[in-house]
Amino acid sequence: MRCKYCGVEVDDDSKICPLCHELLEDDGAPAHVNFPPKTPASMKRKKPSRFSFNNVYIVISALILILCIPLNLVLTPDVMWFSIVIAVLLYGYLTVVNTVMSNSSLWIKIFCQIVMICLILWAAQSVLNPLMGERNNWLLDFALPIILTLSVIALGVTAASLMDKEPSLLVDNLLISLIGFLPIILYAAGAIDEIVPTAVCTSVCMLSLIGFIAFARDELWAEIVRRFHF
Amino acid sequence: MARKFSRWLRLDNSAKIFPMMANKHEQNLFCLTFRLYKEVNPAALGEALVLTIRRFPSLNVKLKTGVFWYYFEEHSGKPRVYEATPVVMKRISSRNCNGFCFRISYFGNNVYGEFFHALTDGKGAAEFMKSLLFTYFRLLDKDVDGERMIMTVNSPSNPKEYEDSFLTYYKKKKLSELPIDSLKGKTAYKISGSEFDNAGMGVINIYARSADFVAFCRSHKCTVTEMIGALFILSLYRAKIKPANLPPQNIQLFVPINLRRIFPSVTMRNFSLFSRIGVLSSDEMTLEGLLQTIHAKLGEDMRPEVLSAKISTTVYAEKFLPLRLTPLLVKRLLFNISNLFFGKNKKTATFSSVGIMALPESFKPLVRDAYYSIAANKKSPITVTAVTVFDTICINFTRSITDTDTEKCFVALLREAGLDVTVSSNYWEVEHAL
Repeated sequence: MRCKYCGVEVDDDSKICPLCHELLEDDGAPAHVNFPPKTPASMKRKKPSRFSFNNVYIVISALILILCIPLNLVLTPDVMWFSIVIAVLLYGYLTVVNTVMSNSSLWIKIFCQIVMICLILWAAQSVLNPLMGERNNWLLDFALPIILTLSVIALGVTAASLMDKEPSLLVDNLLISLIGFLPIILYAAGAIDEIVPTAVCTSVCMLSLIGFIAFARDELWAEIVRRFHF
Repeated sequence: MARKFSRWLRLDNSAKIFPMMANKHEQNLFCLTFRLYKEVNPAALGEALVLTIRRFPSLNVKLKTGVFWYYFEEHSGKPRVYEATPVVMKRISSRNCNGFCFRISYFGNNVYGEFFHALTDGKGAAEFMKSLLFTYFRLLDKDVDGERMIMTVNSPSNPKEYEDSFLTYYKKKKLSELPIDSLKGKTAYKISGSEFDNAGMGVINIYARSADFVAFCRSHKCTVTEMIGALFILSLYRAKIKPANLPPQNIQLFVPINLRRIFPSVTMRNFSLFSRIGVLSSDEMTLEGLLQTIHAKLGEDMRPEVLSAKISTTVYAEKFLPLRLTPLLVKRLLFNISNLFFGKNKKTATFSSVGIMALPESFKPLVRDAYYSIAANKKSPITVTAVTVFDTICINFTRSITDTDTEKCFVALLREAGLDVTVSSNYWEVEHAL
């Protein structure tokens, strides 16, 4: 095909000139398909859709809160349980944004999950404690050590089984194991009263550290070198 | 059983900035496309890719985030080939490319290699793609010979292929001895035009017989690079500046210089620097005048001592201890903030002239031609590349704006010079393809 206006040969399976967009003259030359044809999906606009995750989540959250806050204030004005609802909604949002959709390292995701779960439990504790009377500090005494213990076990098993494929998990495990010593520090500072969950958490973290230092020392060191190179 | 250690690589000096610059909409990507005579066999191409990647350890990596810098870690998985999408240089992410920083795709007779610039530059990508095609043709039982131009799968890998050559040629100097002023620049003219409202880019390829083009350049006693650069500046003036009656504009072309030509290196990683060609637009601008300006500027910028000083400057920045000890998160934040508030547009467009891509004669019945394209973006909406393969020169225009005025003027200038040209396009600006 030839464009009589631009004076060029057009090597495309098209009827218009790519330069002036006028109709081409057929000169019998073979045409090639040089680019994949456009599809509606490929022409999708850059601007985010109105029904993006953010917008939908904000609307649903607002609806839930509009329903919960008056209900709470009317039915049980002494117990502000809507704060738990707020914490759960916030947790859901951050989980999707920070954990599911994010490219952050695993340890950052787990760390954020621990912090967020603790925040929910703290909200729950603040609401429920007045109802339960004398007790208690179950967030620090039980919840925090248990969450950390489970995180270290889960990450430790994953890191051990995927050590060859994903050596970065070793450092993730190391960092979470170090965070796992938080309960014993809090216990020493007098913020935690229950020794058993704290002792279990500390033991698991120590085991994890000793295990990886004994069996994957070189890999762990290599990973630290590459992760912290400057 | 001995456990396999995962190997890793620091990003080379010029690659360090690319992941920091990347965002949801922009990523420094470039594409090398080979147009073959026969339809691509996806299964054979996929098999060839798996075989070829073993020969190129610096490409068989995934980008990881460290505490102070990004780094590459050996990829334990296998790359695969994809059917090309209409969106050229679609964002490469760990999700859509299985963690690799490049994407090999096919459509009809075309093989596309899209690369994140942090991984390699045009030269490295060309070596990889040539090797891939060689393996592909061999798998199809084609009679091809490497003719010492191809890094074949069975050839030994040289550790120097993944060295950071910037560090090799770095000479320690005091800050006062470095040409810091050369990094500063005036605000450049920004090409106007309405942006595409989707993720795609417009591509127009202009093909001409290389012998004719070289003869045209000889008649003006200039190189192909100088000629295309001058024609491009002239087209920009005629298509954008003059019709809008703008006062004199500072047109700044960024021209990558392949440092391997001056400093011997076999590295497959980035080893290029930019020359900045600045021209103040005016009615008196002529082709001859532009050719002289470009010749003088490129001649000055390609002097080994000038390039050596530039290498030392960029490596000095990388080795600056406070910068090294700044956590990556803070580096990114500072970089983006400074870019947002103080970053002026110093580039009108990028123009990369690759020169002749040497392919074995045995490829001639199989490979029609090839072209490079560089992703355009909001700040620099048109990029131009030129490469000669066999007896065809392909000049590629990739743009993020809808109008094709600059390309139209460029072709008109070639026609005025008496050159026969063929064009092809992805017609991205046309709502409904005809």
